[in-house]
Amino acid sequence: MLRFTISRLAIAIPLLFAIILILFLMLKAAPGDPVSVIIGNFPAPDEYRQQIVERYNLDDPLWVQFWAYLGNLISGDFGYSFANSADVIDVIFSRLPATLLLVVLGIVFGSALGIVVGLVSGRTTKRGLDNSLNIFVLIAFAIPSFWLAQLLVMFFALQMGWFPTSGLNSAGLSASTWETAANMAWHLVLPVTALALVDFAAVARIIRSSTAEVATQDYIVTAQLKRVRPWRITSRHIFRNASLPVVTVIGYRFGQALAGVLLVEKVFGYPGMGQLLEQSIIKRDNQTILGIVVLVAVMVVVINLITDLLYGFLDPRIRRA
Amino acid sequence: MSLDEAILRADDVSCVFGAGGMFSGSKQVRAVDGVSLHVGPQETLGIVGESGSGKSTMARILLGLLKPTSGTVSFEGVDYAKMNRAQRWNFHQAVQVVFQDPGTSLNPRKSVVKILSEVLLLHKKVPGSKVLDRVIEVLDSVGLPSEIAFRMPHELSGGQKQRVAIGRAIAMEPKVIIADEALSALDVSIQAQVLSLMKELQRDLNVSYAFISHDLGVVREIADRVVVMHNGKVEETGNTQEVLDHPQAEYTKSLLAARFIANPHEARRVRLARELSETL
Amino acid sequence: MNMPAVASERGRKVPRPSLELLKRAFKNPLTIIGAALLVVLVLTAIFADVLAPYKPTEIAGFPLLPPFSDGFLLGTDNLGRDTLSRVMLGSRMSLAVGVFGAGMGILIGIVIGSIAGYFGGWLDTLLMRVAELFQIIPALIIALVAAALFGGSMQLVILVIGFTFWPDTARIVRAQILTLKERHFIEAAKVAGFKSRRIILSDLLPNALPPVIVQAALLVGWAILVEAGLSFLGVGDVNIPTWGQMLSSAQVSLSQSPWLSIIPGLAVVLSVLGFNFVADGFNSALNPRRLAVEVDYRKLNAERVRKLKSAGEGVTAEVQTVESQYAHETDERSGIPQLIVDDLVFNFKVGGREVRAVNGVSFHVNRGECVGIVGESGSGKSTIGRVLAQLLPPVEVSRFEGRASLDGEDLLGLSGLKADRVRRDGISMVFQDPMSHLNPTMKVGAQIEEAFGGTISGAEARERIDELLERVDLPRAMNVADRYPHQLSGGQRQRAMIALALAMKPKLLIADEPTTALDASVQASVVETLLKLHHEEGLSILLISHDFGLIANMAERVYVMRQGKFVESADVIELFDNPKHDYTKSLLAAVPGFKANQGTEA
Repeated sequence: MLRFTISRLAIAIPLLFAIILILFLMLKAAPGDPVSVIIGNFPAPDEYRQQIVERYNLDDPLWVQFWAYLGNLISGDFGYSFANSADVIDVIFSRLPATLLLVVLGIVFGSALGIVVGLVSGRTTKRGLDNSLNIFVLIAFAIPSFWLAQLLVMFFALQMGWFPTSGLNSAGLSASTWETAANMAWHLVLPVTALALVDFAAVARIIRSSTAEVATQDYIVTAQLKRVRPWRITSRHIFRNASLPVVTVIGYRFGQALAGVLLVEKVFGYPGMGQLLEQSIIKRDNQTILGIVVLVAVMVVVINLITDLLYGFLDPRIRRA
Repeated sequence: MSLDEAILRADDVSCVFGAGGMFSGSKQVRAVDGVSLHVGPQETLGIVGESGSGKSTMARILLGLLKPTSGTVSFEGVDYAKMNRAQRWNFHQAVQVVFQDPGTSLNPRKSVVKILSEVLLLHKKVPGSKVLDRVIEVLDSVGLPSEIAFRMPHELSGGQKQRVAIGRAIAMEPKVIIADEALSALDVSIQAQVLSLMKELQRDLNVSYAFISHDLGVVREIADRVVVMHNGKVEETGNTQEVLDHPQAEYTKSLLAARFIANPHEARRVRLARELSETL
Repeated sequence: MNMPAVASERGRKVPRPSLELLKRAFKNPLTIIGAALLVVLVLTAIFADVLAPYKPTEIAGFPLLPPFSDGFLLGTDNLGRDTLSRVMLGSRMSLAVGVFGAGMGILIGIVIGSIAGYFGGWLDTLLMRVAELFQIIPALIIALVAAALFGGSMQLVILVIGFTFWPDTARIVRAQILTLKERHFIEAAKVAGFKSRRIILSDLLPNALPPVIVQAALLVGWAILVEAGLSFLGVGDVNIPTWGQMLSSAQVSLSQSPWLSIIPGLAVVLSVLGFNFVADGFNSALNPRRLAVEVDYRKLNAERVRKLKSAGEGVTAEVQTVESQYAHETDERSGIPQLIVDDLVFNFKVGGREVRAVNGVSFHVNRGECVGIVGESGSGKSTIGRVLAQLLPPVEVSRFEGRASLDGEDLLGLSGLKADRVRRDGISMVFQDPMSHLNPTMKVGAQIEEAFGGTISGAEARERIDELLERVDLPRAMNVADRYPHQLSGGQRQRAMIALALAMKPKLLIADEPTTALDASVQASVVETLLKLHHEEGLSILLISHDFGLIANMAERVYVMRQGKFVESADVIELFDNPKHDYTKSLLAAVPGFKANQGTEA
């Protein structure tokens, strides 16, 4: 397991390095004067422009520039955002928790439902049920999360008035922690639903096919020979082996969810990174854009590292290797 | 037979797997460890061993499919690694192969005539206009009717597929055919038919065989000489009859002792003898 | 005669696998619906200019007209532009980005996947690491950054999708090529001297492509979603209408004009659904999913009993008469046979074809006897064991007749709990491949414990497990119970499997090719263990094998099976010395070394 961990780490670090390199090269390839590309379209004083040239070694060869850029990132310096008049890192961190909350809840609920539907679909002996669940999953795959968000707003918020249309907290609410939490949960229902749909579809699909595959394995025959009860065969023999690929899928889904959340946030006016990113694009605040993307990349790589290790831990064939 | 007469020979060949990069994380395995062997003209060399003995790796090395980590494979006295283009081209005609699993030895998307004609055309064995005649001739010599030519592999039985695979090998007019467990996947009665076909072809075409098998019974039937492999090394080599009747190496002895003898008298005698020796 | 002449000479039609696939895919209504949606989408995109009543940017009427307004079938947007025209024109952008973006990704994926899979080694490692990089970073975010830095043109979006969408395809192609490379026809082509490029193009890719088609359809759908998301966030030219843009402008009037969101949203969903349905249709044609059909023994048995009764025979009564028939020739050692099988028929259908696996066989196994059933593959010998243990694969049973009893209890007639009890206490089984028959993620001890049926647990169970493992010559010191199957050798795994079978305290052990998957040197010792259990503990064994060597070493009586029937049965020595049936003779003659052994014996 230690060997496995080290080998996965040895992959993750160059991966991060490569992502930052790609971003850096994109930055360099962008049209326009290099200082403006970094700070965006803001009338900055000349001294500040000179300061930027020095900080990012803009007069030096490309690799020195990259080295300086990397050094700044590692020391936690993501630059200064003119649009927000604050350090990029502070701007991002003020938005990050809300976004992460949404992403994690979406994946948790989506995967849980996906596992149930996938298991039922993979284990059922009724062709009709399997087909309907399959069509349901295919439709879920085809619905853009932001459109579902709009539909939810129109029906459950505007029409029925059951849920708020936007935000994370009701304005002017000063109540106990419990009430704040309940209020937040109430705000989260619709965005989490919109976001969870595609996670649900991805997980249901993988569980369906892996369950069906595991069910044809010879060791299931052995379990039947032992007269293990059918529900126990499903829970102990099939599910355990069929759920392994889900761990990997959730790792991949995390990156996709971080992209999807940007769209859903826009619909709900949710105070997260999506809003920040959209505003930064409009204002051409490139420092902030790059900061967000680098942070997303770091999170994606770390999450994938964790799911990789988790997979290794769950599968004794890797754990004991 | 002197070694100079050998058509195909391997000298001190070793092959190490898992010597890969820093990310592979796997241990090194010496699949083949200092093996020397040779195949003479019109001779059948049996290579015997259990799974993991390195015999199939050896087959791939002899075929030029796998580069040995050290040692040389030579064909008619020329080192494979040092062959020029023309010599390599010649090697690829002269050394052919028949694999174990007839189910995967033919491309499922190509008809029999396509499979046989493409190798004939590649090596320009016959002019384009004579290809079909030659294909039918080849099918005939492996005991298949000509209408088989237009079938797809999934329409053939296991025995028929293996005959087509043998046909593909002999179509090249090879000097050596490497048969890697060529009978193991077939039923007993089909095995016997294919075995006698291979013997017949050897007589008619003057071809040599390197016959790789785990089955001592089959090897006894076809091989003139035998090489016993274990853990990548040669344990014993010599005349088939001698090795199998009077094995010298401990491993060969245990292999022979472990074999089931298809004879209930013998089986009972052995068991009684063991029980007696245990009670005494 | 040349090759074209050969083609025309083909007397019979060779079914082409690709055509077969197409036919099977279009039998699925889902594929047809999907294809219909795609036809509508493509036609709309092509003829949008002609079909659209207005120019998409033209302010044609009052703002926010509802659908079915005069002259505006789908209403107008907040600027008074015709929604129908905008949706029609929007299909162009979606289709263009979807097809070209995903198409580019697929091409890159095929090339990279082929190279990685075929050449392997460090090149493979490197390419797959790069693929991992692109797989975890979402296309949408890269596209956003690119759009922010370079301005968001359609070409840029296509380019970004192309460069971020290849990893899935590359992985699939690589995996396909890795499995295909193991197939011998690829090695045979290398041996014949074909060049790498020709092997990849002629032998590998045609066989690797079908799953790529499925992937391609999915990716186009996915690319359409990414495009919609990007234009929803405001990337792109405001003068070219796109569905994402329409959804974005609908955002401000969700409360008053929900249709402005519903209409373009439906357009996106239906387009993507078209691709998803086609992909799924082809996928299920490629990998037909067999539902976990449960063989309904209760129903089968009712049918079987009805037939017996209509023939004026009873189920148990008949077993008793069979027993009394044996009572005349009572064997001193064993008395009435332990297992009696009378005229067993078991046929089933696979892919519409009827398989007459077992076609009327009768046999018995005496207490403490080892009886062999020998036959070639496809003779139906394994089906007998599976029927007796009720461990059938999910097949459609077409004929199930006959009787079987174990110690006087009807073996076929029971179902549900009682059947489980009788069989758990009666019949157990050892299979050919112990690796695949043991659960890879469960410790051996836990797998054996399940065979106790919950009767004992904890330390007591552990003690029993260790005892069982010792009985099959796996000493406690080896601690097999705490290991996973992959940590054991082949022989150890088969011993563990035997221990598992013994844990059920069977009266009869069915051993189906128990040594075939093992190395020769290990085979003998596993047989030793089985024989020890047989001789010392009086375990009855029904041995099913193709291997005359194994039969000669273990069985006392032998049935020779061919095409679902027994052609001969005899004492083992009689059978080898004096085979009566021609089929037996030919089988024995084909055993390599058989004659040689007879010679040394004489």
